[in-house]
Amino acid sequence: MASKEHEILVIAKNTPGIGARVLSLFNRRGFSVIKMTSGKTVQPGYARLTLTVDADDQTLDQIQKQIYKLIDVVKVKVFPEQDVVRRELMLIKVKADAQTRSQIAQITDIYRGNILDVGSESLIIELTGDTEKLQGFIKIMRDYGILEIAKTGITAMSRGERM
Amino acid sequence: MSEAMINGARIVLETLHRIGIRDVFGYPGGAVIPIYNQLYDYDQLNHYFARHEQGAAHEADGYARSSGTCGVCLATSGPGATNLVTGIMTAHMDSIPLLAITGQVGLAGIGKDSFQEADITGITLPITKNNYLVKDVRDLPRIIREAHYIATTGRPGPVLIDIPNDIQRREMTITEYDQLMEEPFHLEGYEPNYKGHPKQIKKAVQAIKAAKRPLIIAGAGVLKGRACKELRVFAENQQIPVANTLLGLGTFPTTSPISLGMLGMHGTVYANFATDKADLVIACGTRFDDRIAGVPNEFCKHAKIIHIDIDPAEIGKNKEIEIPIVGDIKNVLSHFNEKLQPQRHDDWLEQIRQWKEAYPIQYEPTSDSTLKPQKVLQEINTIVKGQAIIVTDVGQHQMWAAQYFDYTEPNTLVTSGGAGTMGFGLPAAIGAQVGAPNKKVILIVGDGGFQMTAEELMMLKQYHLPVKVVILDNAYLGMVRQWQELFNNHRYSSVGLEVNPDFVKLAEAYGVTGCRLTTKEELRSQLRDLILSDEPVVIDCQVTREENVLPMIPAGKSVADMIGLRGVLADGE
Repeated sequence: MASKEHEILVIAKNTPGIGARVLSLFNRRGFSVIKMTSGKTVQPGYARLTLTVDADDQTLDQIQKQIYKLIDVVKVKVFPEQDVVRRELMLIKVKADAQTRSQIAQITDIYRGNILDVGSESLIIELTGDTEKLQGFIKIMRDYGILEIAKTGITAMSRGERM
Repeated sequence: MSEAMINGARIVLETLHRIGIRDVFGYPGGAVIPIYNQLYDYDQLNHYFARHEQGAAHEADGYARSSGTCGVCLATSGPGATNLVTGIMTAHMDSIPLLAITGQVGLAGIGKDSFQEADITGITLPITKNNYLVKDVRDLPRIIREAHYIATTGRPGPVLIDIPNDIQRREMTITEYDQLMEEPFHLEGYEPNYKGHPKQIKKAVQAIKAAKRPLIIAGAGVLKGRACKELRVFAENQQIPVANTLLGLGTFPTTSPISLGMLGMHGTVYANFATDKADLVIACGTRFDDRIAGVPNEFCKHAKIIHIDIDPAEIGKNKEIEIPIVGDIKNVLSHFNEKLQPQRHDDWLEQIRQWKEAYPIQYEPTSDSTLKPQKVLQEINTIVKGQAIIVTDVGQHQMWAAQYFDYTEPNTLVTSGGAGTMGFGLPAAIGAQVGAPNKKVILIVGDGGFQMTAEELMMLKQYHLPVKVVILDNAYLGMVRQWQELFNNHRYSSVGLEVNPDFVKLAEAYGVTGCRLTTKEELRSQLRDLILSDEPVVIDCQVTREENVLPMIPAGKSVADMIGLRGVLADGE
């Protein structure tokens, strides 16, 4: 079976170490997690985790079931491909001197990014988008010289009223 | 007058008592001194003083298995807690309800590498159903009740509660404690599903009606779901043969003509043949582990499979399933029994009868007076006739115990199946005897595993526990030796135990009667009295050294590759 990337939403009681509980499972069961984002939810006392996993259908099914077995987890859902907004935030530090600075600024503009810091030899750019958009931007910036990249991992939300 | 107070340590004991716990296995240490201080004059709990924390964990596990209730073990922080780890993992692999209570350094000392500090909740994350680090004494009454509920419901399992030393000493009024005990707890993300889906049950019933060669595989889930009666009605009314997993032995009388005994790597030939020829398999509370389904795609390859399990994550984990039913086994089997008219499968049962006749569990007896291990077990079986609790350690003797004893009642085999923990046997037998004081408990153990936890012998003497310790002493780590013989060209690497202690003297050093049986004559003249005695005894049975457990489906192979079908290895096998 072909494996591909999926985003999984996990809502859990915000107990200490809930992230460790979820990740320990991945280690123990041999699942592969690529990214994880977490934060509080609108309801106090709950944490929202978005996991990006690489899995075939059978493994994906196991991942959901095994996560749901954790006592503190109250909801597990795999985001479908459609009708979901996926976003990731990236900070990227690029080499930039007096000659290249304005070119980079223009490209950043096209990508709707923001320049957060201007140094004599570098720029820090903030960019939000889906994985493809970030990849596209990274590809272009390679020509100028990338010094550093920091990404948050994907967070996602279904369109419409329901979670 | 000021109001009566209760401290955290006392809360632990009182709450355990109120949820129905009577017996605790433990070992004192610095971080649990407040709890032991309260135990000193707390009469509602019996404390059994282990000689090693690993012993305490296996004792609580054996207790849970023989009594069908929750076992409790108690240890101090750091090394005390980590010594429980093997026992907790063993219970986790076999879904045994267990509460492990550990002391922890004071709250202020956590994270400072304090004396005897270990992150036991972190360490036990992957081997507990849930665990807790208590940070407020007011949470303690809820956490203990919650932990017990989680450990004993759904698919059971171990739960650990780590209690810092200062939390044990913190006080509240009795009134407040009583109020906290009244407060209900709510586990939002934990709702074990007890009722099988009606549509799935209907599908299963149709499949059972249509099957020509149906087979039941009954696992430990049937014991845990207390569904042995329903299983028996189902199997007998439908005339469906029953194969047991190792941990499922005891769910269906192996003396029944439609019992196939154990299946799997060292299962009976007829049970394994049946899995290969069946057109429908009804798998009850079992998880298709690699000792049963060595090659998942080859296993039961001609059969449609109905898989009933309370844990949804077991469905499709190891094998694809046509008709999954998530639910309590008792509930689901009751539905089957209501909806199905009696059936017959005469041709199928005749085929099985022929297999049984052609390939019984057998071994080649010795022609001289030396003892074969199987012979010893056969003799014990004729004495106890399925009426004893058989406890085993792990290895060859464990498989022979599964093959050569009759199991007619639930909870009569106590063995470490999933984890395969050597050293489990003696402490588990101690726990099993405490959990079933009126039953005869017989431990079958190898000379290797016995030495791993032999210190627990002291408890037999101290608590007058009449466990019969039968050592099948072949001066080898027999199972590893067997694999080295079969798969490593007889290269017996570090398995010889020619340098063993004198087990009779060892028993005597612990104040327990010891004796040695080396010949058939000694077996005949002494075994019965030893087994029937009311005292603990250690019987060192010196048996032939290089016996193999047969038949065998080698690891990662399927029924077609089974060797030793007639109890001996044929040429070239």
